[in-house]
Amino acid sequence: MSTVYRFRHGILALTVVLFVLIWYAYAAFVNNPHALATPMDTLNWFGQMTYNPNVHGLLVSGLQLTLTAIFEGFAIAAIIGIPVGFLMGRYLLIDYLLDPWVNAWYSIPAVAFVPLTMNWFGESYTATMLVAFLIAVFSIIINVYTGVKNVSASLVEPGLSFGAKGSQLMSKIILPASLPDIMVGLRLGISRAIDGVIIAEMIFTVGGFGGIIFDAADKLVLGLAVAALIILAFISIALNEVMKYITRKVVAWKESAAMAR
Amino acid sequence: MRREKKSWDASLVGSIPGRIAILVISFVVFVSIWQILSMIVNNVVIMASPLQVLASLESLFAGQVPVGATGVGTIYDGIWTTAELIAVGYAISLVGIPIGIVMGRWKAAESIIDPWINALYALPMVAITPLIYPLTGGTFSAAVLVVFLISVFTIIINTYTAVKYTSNQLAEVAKTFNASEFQFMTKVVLPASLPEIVAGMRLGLGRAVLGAVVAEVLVMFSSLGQEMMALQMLINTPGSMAIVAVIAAIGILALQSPRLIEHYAFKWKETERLQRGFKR
Repeated sequence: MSTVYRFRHGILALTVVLFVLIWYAYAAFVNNPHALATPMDTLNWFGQMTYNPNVHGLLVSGLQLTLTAIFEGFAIAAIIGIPVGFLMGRYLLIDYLLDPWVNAWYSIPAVAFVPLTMNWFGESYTATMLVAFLIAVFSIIINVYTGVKNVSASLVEPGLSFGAKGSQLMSKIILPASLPDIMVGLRLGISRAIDGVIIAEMIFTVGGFGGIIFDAADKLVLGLAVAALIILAFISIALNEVMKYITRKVVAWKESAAMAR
Repeated sequence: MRREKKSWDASLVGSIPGRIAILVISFVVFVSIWQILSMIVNNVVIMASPLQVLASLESLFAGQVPVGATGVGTIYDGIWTTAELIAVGYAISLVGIPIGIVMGRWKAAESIIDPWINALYALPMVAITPLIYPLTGGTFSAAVLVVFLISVFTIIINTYTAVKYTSNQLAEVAKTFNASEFQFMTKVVLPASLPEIVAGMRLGLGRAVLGAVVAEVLVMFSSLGQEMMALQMLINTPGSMAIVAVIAAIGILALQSPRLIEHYAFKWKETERLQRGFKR
């Protein structure tokens, strides 16, 4: 192993320090608190978030709103997306019927859902949640569908020759075999749901983390915006890691490239 | 995985004309349901009927600028700007391919870059958009930056995963035959991981389209996204729906046409492509 590999943790830490230094230098170069927040400014807002009850309250309520919207949108998307993906993978008629629609809706950029949900529910929590649902559900359907469709014949045919019934085939062969893809779909779904909630919150004025970041940037309180962004980053990374962990636990038997990440 | 019982519907719908017929029928059903629903709701603000949306699409494509969306230009300007934005931002984010190859092949590079890429990939990049505006103003290049940031990490991660896993699998053989590093890369790793790199490029294009519209809504002046939100704020629902339809069409065109090309170009790797193509 090379020297670089041996000292990777040290070098990684060094890159973090370097990043902050460059940020510091560039902010000093721009020298305009209304264009780019300095690291100190951001740190100061982290302090405010901890000690100033107003900012703290804003943050906590925003966090609650955003996380609830993410989980609710994601949960509904999973509850609808998994069975639909299964039916599409299983029945050719349903496949041909829905496949063009699912692919088309999957291709629509998320922002285009914003006016739709706004018409139906106004600028509300429901609309935010619905945007997250609409973005996540098609991604989940496509992954589940692909997983079910690609269950190898070498698994299905022995089941058939041992006289497995439809339900047995489903629960004992197809479901376990397509589980890795389902898990990937769910992980993708949650990250798309996060995107959707943030986009919707930035456009609707209903609070939440996207709202906090957008408002702070809009009022040029950039330190707060960057601090909120950093917190959001850690939340997203944590959610992603949790999904990865669950995936590894659920499909520990499946060693494949897809499972590595 | 087709069972014998399924043969009847396979013969009915399996052919190309059959699939087209199903598509047409389902489209007609969709539009009629939409029309009937909008007649029941009977409120143009909540639900514009397909006919109303079609009418405003017609007027948009006739070159008329809707009231309240002045300064935005005609729909053709908007489409052109969006296309330009996607093309430039996406072209720059293709730099993710060499980065991904380096990461997938050299452990040293991987060990340092990977945590950054992973973190930045997990971060909802759209949240950075409002922060770019104060720094740059509503310029085209600011919007390009947003497109780049939103799409590049998807491309890096797909390339990286593809190169890493193919090289592990095929390394033994190549080493046995005494391939040099250069030969190994150009003759083994790159051809083997090409389908997945292309799949990553397609997914990156999808992200670029998303990024372009996000940037238009939040950052850029005079664009389709701005016009959509302006009409939305004016409660001109048929107008904003018409632009939603245009944006949706751009997205569908950008995502589905490469899928067709890929389907024919990589027939030799069809199953694996299918299995892994949609991963992110």
